[in-house]
Amino acid sequence: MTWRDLTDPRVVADGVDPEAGLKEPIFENLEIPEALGPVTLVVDDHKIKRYAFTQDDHHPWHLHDSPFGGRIAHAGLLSNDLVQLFTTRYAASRTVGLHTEEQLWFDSPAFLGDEITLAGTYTESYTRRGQDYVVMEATASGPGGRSVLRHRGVEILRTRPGDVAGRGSTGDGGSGGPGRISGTADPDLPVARLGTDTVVPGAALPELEFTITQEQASVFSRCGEYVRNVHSDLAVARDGGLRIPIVQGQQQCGLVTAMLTRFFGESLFTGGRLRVKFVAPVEVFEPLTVTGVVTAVTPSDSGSLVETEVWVRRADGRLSTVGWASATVPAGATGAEPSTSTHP
Amino acid sequence: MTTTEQQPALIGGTTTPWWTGTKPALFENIEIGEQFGPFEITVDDRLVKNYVFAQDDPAAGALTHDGAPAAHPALLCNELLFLFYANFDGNTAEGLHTHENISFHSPIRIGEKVTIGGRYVETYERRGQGYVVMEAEAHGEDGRPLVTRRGTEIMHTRAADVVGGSRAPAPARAVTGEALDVTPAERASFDLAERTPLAPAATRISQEQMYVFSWGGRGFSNIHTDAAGAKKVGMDRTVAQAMQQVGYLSRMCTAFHGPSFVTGGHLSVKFVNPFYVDDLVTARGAVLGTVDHDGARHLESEVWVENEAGRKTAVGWAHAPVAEG
Repeated sequence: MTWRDLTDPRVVADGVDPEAGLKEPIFENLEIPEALGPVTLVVDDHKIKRYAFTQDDHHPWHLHDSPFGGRIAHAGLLSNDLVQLFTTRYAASRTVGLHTEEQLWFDSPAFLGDEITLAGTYTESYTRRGQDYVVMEATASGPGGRSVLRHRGVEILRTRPGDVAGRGSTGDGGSGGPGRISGTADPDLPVARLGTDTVVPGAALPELEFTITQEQASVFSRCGEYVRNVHSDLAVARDGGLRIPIVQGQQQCGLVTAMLTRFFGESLFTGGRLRVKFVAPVEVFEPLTVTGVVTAVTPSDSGSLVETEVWVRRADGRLSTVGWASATVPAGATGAEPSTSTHP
Repeated sequence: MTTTEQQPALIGGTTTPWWTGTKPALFENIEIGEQFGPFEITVDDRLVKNYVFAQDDPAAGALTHDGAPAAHPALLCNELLFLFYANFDGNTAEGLHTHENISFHSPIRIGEKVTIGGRYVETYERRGQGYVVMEAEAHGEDGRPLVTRRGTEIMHTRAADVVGGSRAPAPARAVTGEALDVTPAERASFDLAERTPLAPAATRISQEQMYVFSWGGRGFSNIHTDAAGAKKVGMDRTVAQAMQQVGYLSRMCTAFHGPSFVTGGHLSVKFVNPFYVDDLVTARGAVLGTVDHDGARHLESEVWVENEAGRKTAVGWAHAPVAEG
């Protein structure tokens, strides 16, 4: 029976160490290019409910029914499986890395019961500011080879998170993409909502609030596969120079996709794109606000391309994740149509 | 997003929440009359969602009390069981839960500050094992009782040596598991024939659910939360906490009796065999008949939990009033 995760933890009962024989995740062991996976897993009821729990995202499309016909996985459900694909070659519990950047292309929804094949490649490695970076490209494909999700991620392979997290280790604190993230919206504009004339540049995206508890962080970061890391285990976090476990970057990314699901709706799942940078750490139990701002609305023959900036803000006001998201929404879904572009 | 008064202090602070005592969890360290609490905890949205996830029981978080969103008092059962962590070091606990008597009195308003407290009332030795009995209860903000329990546990044992065989005292009557070959009853009625089966409730328990239920998120490592905790006591895999079965039985009985089980339901359960991570277990029951409880007419059922091989892991009885009509 196909299992729901990258590894089948049931083998532990037979005395098998799932990480035995895997490489130490250090720069010197990298091979470029290096194939990661493939792994086939199943999107089962527990996988969806587990993600709903870790992300506090109980959207009815995932738990009941969706406009696509049946329950679909959260947009970000498979994204951590893609990020973690390197653990098919490298020991997961030996990993003390730092995820710095994530790009996702949402091609189609994954449905409850779908078997998904994940495959990736380490495509590039480099050293910058004394840290060793590695780039992974990976895909998640559904039945018939249908593309569900594509990923490109940048990670510091081995570091001491307590030393570098929060010092702007992504290099630029949010620049380096299409533009610097302001973290603000026009307070005089109503919150953007598709199907109304509120989707205009400067309008805020819906705002969601989260607090990721230790249980949520641990379950997200694979405690169910007996992986121990700086997200799931206090002792490992302390060894990494942290005072308490920190929330995995990809879990924050999932909070952003939850917000984008509520804003873009179906359009996110059929052509949405997200690029985020993780610019400051988030400790477990730290209140977070997730939102964004519309930056451009460009009508086209197939609808309107809506471009946004997105971010996660900590309770102390500091941005922890910043990025850009876009999707093409149906004609008539924004106030800009059908007249002209509202590019700023 | 607090689940206890002290939990937010964990942020950047020490890991000394109120439930971490220092005494090694050994039989010889038990003092009869020893008090645990009372403590105030807030049954917030997060605590409810943790229970719903761990038990795969969304209905437990979808009740009402005086018109407000409320949760099933079953979610406090493990808080009451683990009260002894207030005085004993939970990471030294290697006990074996053998018996649980629980009475439900009221739903808990989500966001309500409740008071929990308990005490050790009895110890005894049998077949070379030391047993301890705890009584504990939870009250709502207005003082109304929410849930009371009396549980028996082998205080310190090596789980690998004893799981797989019943340690519970022989019951005064047997749970036969016999049921009529008829469609299971969805709703309780005094008109149901004796041995009518209750609609069952099945769960395949995951490691994540066990981790959340058994306080992995509160920093504890035990035979339920992780492979290392299991290996420490000679187990080749994690074993599910027996109290999770109380939740499965509560889920089945609440669906069967409706709100009357939440406000007047009783469960008496013995844990007779272990169940393990990824096991599919099913809560089942069969109607026995009418019983008198404190002058009220209750419908009693035999209840049990069994694994895929049909082996019973918990056996007992449940009774509650019936809302006819």
